[in-house]
Amino acid sequence: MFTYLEKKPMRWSLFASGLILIFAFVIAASPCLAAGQLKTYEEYVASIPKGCEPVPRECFEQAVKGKTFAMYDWAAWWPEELYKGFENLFGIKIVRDNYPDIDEALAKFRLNPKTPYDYWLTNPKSLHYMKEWNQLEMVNHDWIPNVNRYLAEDVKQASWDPGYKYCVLTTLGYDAYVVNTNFIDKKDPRMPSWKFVFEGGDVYKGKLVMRNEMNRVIGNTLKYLGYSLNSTDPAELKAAEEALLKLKPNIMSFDSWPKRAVMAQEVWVVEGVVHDYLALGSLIGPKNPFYPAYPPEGCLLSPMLVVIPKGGNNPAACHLFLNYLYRPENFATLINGVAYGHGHIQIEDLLTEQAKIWMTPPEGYRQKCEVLMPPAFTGEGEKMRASIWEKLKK
Amino acid sequence: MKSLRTDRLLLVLVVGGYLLLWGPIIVLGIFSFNSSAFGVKWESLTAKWYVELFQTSAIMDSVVRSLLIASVTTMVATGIGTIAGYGLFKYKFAGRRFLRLSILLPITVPYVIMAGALLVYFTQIIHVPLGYPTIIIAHISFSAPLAVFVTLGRMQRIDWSLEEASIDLGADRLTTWRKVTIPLLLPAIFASAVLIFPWSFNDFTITYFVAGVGTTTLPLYLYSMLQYSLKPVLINAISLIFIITPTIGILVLSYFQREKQFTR
Repeated sequence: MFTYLEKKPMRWSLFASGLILIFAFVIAASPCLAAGQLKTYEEYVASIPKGCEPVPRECFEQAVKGKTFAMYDWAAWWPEELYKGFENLFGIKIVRDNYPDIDEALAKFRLNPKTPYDYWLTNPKSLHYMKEWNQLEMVNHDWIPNVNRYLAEDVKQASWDPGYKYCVLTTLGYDAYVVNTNFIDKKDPRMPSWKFVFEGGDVYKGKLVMRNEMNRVIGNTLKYLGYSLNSTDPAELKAAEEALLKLKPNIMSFDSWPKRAVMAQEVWVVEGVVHDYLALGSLIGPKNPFYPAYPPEGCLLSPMLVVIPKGGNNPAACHLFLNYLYRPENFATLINGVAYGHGHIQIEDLLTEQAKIWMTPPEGYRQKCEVLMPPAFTGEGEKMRASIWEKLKK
Repeated sequence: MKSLRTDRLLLVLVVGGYLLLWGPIIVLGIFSFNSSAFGVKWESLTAKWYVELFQTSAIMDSVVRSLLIASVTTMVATGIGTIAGYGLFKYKFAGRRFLRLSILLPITVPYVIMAGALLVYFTQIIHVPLGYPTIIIAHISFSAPLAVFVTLGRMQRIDWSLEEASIDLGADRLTTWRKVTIPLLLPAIFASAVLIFPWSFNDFTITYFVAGVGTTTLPLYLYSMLQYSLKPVLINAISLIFIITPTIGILVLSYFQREKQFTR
């Protein structure tokens, strides 16, 4: 038998009121994200800094009419002032969503071709697939005069986008390796070659972390062996497999961003984008213990590209943003913030000394590096790499 | 003497068990007040990460979105699950057994597969734009079965003669439902809500696939932040939100549950 202990009426009303209050708060908070006031084209043109050019009236008016600009990128990477500055200048509200992984974002575009983003910060692999699936808008070069003016010509002719049709480069990451000089002598004769990673186990004693990404690890192994990182030659890939299996006892873990272990100095050698680790090292104290090794054999180059998915509602805003981003002072803000390589030809004087140190590989180094291309991540190339990766991770 | 030793052993086991459960959370909480950006070793006490957290509009926006989604999901999924559980227990109809088993499906199929299927369903079959409605519908489809099973479990232990007595004494079905059945089911309703709220608030996989423009929730933001953020301690502070928010939800629900207690 059930008996009531208390006769007080149930406070359903109080419970419901609480929930209604939450909704009210949410609805009230939403407009806080609203952007500034709209500007006329004439005002915009008048505000253009010296050395920069405005987008055409058509682009400006379409972008402003669209009112919002949907971006899909990484969280907590680029300086926030870039986004705020754009919103304040043009009165266009940026709606930013963030992905945890580019491949996962690609899966989302694959499953929903109409994913409505105007801007997606992505990599050459996704660019390849999005082109293949006919899911990208072509970039209107007439609408990005600052990009045309300041992006280096060799980057415009880059292999990842033949004809320079579908993307605009933002940053370039060098996927090489860094060593902690508190434990490793940077004068080791094998440095900065990949030989130190693959043959220097006696020095770093198993304290090596490799990226948890098949194509990057195998690609850099191919570079160590003197081959193209996009090789599909079974003999070359077999040699890479043997080199990696020989290295395996010295690999502490596969981790694409082992921040904590690196900061705790549990890891002495780490393969990855060198700029990220130099930025990490600066947080340890006045003396940055990390030394970037740019192997003379070359390494994997990771460009971050802006593409315009077809499902977007305001592609003009993407062009307006790219043109705004490529203003030298804005691009310098970006590079000073992330300390990555780039293709902008007019920001050297605007960079901090720290950014220059972190982002600058040896003269002419970019030409030794390669970008991951379709032969590596499609067909037989992908199958052979998957097989090597499976053996390595077993 | 033997009993004393057993008691001590039990005490050690209980303390050990709780430490195992709470240890990481306590460490995370303490280190979120560490002035070192990486929290690898203790430097000094600071609340600056919380200040930064509350000043970062992207984080606060994502917290608000997560709260909104979890609140709506909890209310609707609990309601649907309770009614479905009641119907499955009380009414005899063809296919009841099948229906009861099939409710398990959303829970047992890997989330990533169901999330992909939901995305295709929303965008290719019924052509609904992705956004809050799709996230909430997806969350409800995954969490309502929890409420069904909690309700069914509770209903096994209820003395249903109370309901019959109410009807015998002249109350109509609606009055009986309101004055007898609902109070009897309240513990199950609250238990369901307590399960569903944190589940919805913390969900990543399903939300990721069915989220639309401008609906980045806290888990989505956090996962993306892990890639480039140079401030892991900030992530500790955010993680505490993950723990504190559902805990507050549970405490609020427990408070309401205590308003109406039952004993056998």
